[in-house]
Amino acid sequence: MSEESTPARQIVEALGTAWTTFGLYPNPEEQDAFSRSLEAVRGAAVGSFQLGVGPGHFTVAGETIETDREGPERLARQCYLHEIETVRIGPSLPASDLLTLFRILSQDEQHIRSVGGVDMVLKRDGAGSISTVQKPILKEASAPIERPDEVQEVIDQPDAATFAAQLLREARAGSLPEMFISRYLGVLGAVAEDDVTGREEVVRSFVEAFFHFDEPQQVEVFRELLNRRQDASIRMFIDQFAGHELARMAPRLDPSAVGMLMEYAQVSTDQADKRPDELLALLGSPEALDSARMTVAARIQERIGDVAEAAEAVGTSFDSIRGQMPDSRRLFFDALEAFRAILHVENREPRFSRLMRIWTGKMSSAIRRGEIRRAELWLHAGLDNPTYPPERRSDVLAAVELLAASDSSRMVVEAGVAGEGERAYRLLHGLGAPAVNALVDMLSEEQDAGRRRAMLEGLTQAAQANPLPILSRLEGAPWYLARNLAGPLGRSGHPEVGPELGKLLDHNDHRVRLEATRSLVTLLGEDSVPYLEKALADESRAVRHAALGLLTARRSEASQAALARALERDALEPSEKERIIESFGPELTAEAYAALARLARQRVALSGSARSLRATAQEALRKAEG
Amino acid sequence: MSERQATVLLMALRAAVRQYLLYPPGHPALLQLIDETRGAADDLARLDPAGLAAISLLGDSIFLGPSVLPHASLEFNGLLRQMQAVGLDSITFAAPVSAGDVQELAAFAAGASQDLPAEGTIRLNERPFSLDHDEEGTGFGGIRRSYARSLDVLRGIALASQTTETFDLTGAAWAVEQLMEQSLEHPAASLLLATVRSHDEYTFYHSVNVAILSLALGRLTGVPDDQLPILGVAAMLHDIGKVGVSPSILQHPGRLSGEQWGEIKLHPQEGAQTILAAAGPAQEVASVVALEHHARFDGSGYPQVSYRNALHFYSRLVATTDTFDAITTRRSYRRAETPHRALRVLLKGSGGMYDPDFTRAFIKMLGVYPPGSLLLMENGEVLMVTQVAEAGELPAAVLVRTQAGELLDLPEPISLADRTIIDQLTPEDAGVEPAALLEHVGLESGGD
Repeated sequence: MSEESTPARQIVEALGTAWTTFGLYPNPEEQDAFSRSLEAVRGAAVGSFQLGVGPGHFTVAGETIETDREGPERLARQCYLHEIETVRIGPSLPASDLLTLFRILSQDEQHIRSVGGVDMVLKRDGAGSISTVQKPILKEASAPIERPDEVQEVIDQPDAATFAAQLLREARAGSLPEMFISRYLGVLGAVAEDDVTGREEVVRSFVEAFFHFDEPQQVEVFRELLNRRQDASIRMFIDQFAGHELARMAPRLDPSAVGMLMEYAQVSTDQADKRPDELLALLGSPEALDSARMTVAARIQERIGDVAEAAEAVGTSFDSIRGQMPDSRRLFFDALEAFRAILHVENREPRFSRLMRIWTGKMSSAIRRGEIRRAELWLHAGLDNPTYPPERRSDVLAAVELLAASDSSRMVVEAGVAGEGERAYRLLHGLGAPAVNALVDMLSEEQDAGRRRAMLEGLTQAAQANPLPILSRLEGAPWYLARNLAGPLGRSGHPEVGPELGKLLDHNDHRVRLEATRSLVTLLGEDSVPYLEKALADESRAVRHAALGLLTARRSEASQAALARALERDALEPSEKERIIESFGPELTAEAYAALARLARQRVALSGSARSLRATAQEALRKAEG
Repeated sequence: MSERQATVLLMALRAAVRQYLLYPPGHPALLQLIDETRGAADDLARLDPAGLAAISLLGDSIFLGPSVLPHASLEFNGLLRQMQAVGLDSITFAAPVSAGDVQELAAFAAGASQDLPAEGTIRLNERPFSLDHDEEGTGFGGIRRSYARSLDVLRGIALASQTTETFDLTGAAWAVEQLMEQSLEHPAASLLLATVRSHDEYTFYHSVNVAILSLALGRLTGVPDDQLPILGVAAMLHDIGKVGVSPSILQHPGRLSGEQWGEIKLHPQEGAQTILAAAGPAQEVASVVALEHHARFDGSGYPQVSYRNALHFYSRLVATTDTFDAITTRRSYRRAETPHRALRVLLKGSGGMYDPDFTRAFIKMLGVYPPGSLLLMENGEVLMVTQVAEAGELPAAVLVRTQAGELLDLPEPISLADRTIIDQLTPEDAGVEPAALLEHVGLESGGD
């Protein structure tokens, strides 16, 4: 520091060094530079001192503190950004307080403004040795309002006494009350609709002038004002009077005027929720006027009467209330309705997301408690006849999907296996594909036959509602799973899954092909014949026999034709072919007849079974012809 | 006057004890609170000719000398328990009270120190006054306790919901159960207690009052016993959504801006969500009341649910009691109204904003002059109604302020017969806190 520098410069340069140190080190208070700077500030300052803040410099007593250092300039600039006008530092400045100031200055100035400003934060954070003064906010000068001359003339009156004298001069020839009121209404009426300030100024001018009249004149004018109190502009005038001013006026009025005053007071009380308490004091005073008291008491009694009457008429109300008493068993449904209503009105993020979490939370906690029906009701409360905004549909479905993908689905399956049955599987279906997937997964892991049966029943229900989630699991499924899925698909009642089910006839495991054969018949009925015909050519005897049995049981033309075509092929063993022939009966289709004829005419039958087959064919033909 | 001064002292002491754990000794903020406490203690002690003021703690009550401070006992229940936890049962202040002794008292009460005040201006556990009765003997300790605990529960719920800590409504259910039990035993006292007001904690006090009034109205109208608890919880939590509204808006004087009003209008759905999230299966229906309590009987309120028909039974009931309590409470933007005027507001709005059946039932329950009503008589006396009138009879009342304007420490039973009521006063105007006089108005404990 310069040997010739003033104390102010020493302080500013020390503060600048401290600020630089603060910016460079995470722990500035442990740095020698910081400690020395603090000592320098304490040493140069006697008692407290105040610095002004410029855009890049500090001032003291309005004079700029010259320094060639960068630290003070940066610090001053930062203070300037925070709109600090002056910084006041107390004696024996503690390091903690200076660090607090620096921390505040290093934050975003808008943020600091939003939490109350630098000085507020200093106090909040306990930096008692430092205070700041913010720059005052400049007000925008508004463009002058153009007003009619008569209005501007009233507003521009030098003082109330002058205006009052002018009004009295104008009234000299006539009645003061009439002149005063018509002048007031005339000027007020000339003020533009949107000139709020103008209206206020005009009313104020007339009210202040009123109080410069002598007492008899005031009474005269006030009485006339009361007479015309129905006019909103007149009421606006009277509204300017404080309660105690009205109370002072009251004893000077005649009884009918007091009555009007009381009525105005009560009306304004009713409408504006104000109570001119001082008027009540009037009632208790020895000078109270009987008419005033009677008026007020009558008004109160009238209102007491209203309330008392209402109390007396309560009998039918009780009956009505009892008729509307909620049923305790229905209260849960009332809660569901409240939820639906919240869905209807809530469209803010993240509140809607939170609502979704509350909703899925209700379902999962109900599932956890084993209350499957309750969970189902919660689900439907959200999904059925939707009340949520249409643009929220994807959020709602995503929430369901998230729940379905969680452990909750497994718990529902367990509930189904444990006895909840149909209800549980209905819920699973409601939860959608991820929930059904959970069931499929659990089925594939299940060892217990009884539980597997229960799960299969569940899968069947799910498939009946929507087979697609199950269908999608066939792809690449291990044989035991494919076999398990085939049954529910067959019982789904959705013929459109036939082709996919039919592909299982090509599965490399005969057990799958066998189950698929049976399922196809359940699913497709007569339309399964082509698949059965294919199964008749299966390499597995079990599959062929199943197909044979199913075809022969059908006794339709199509099934007989398929059987007849099978007779021609080598895939079937002779005993199987004999079974086919025996199933034909006396009524043969053309195809069956031709097939039998070809068999019967066979010249060469080397094996016993071949000869037996030929004989059976011949016998069948004879029966058919005979 | 002395209860008011004691309240100032307790408020300052509470703040000092709280801050003691946040700031190191010698911190300017703490020193300021210590000084405020010292000043308040000194002012209180100087009210006594001997310059002594003794605050005693017994059970759930705070005493000043021999007199229980019922209002303060409610408001400073937390401080009371904290002091009892460190073994304090009385504090005697001797003017001039020293700041050093106050600091040591605060440290002791905060559990930060075992040092007793050294200068002798504050003496602990000395109890110079003997107590003529214990607070339990009045019979109203239970209902005051249940009121105070309800406040604590609400404070806890509010804090939990702001910190997104998970919480459940078990506390609220328990508090309601206590209130139910106590209000059944002391129906008149509970209605008088429901006149307690707080400006700083308006929402909490208001919610407890609405719970008391709703339980009473529910009982009167035949709500089944198994539904009363849920009605009570719904009433107690109806305004819980306000927890998230900025205090600067809730206490804004004057007309609200569009943006501020928009924020206020969200509190029903916020409260309903909060309750739904926290409620167990039996309490979920409480969310209905939170959602609908501003919807208005004619559906013109908020939030607007376009497809809905009638408001829920509970919502219509609570809207009635909610309106009554709100109107009779002073707010930053409007003064309080008298109970009678509040009933008139309900009557005027009946069929429109308010359910007409519940309005009439509520008026029947409270009477033309509800308990706590302060009546200005023709001769200048001020009477307070203490019980609902029996059919065809005048309500029971006590004289609280004489013709000369003197406030009575012990109100005197007085008949309304042959007296002309000329107006009602708010507690503020009358200088009387109805609930503070509970023990002195001649209500019998146990069935009233």
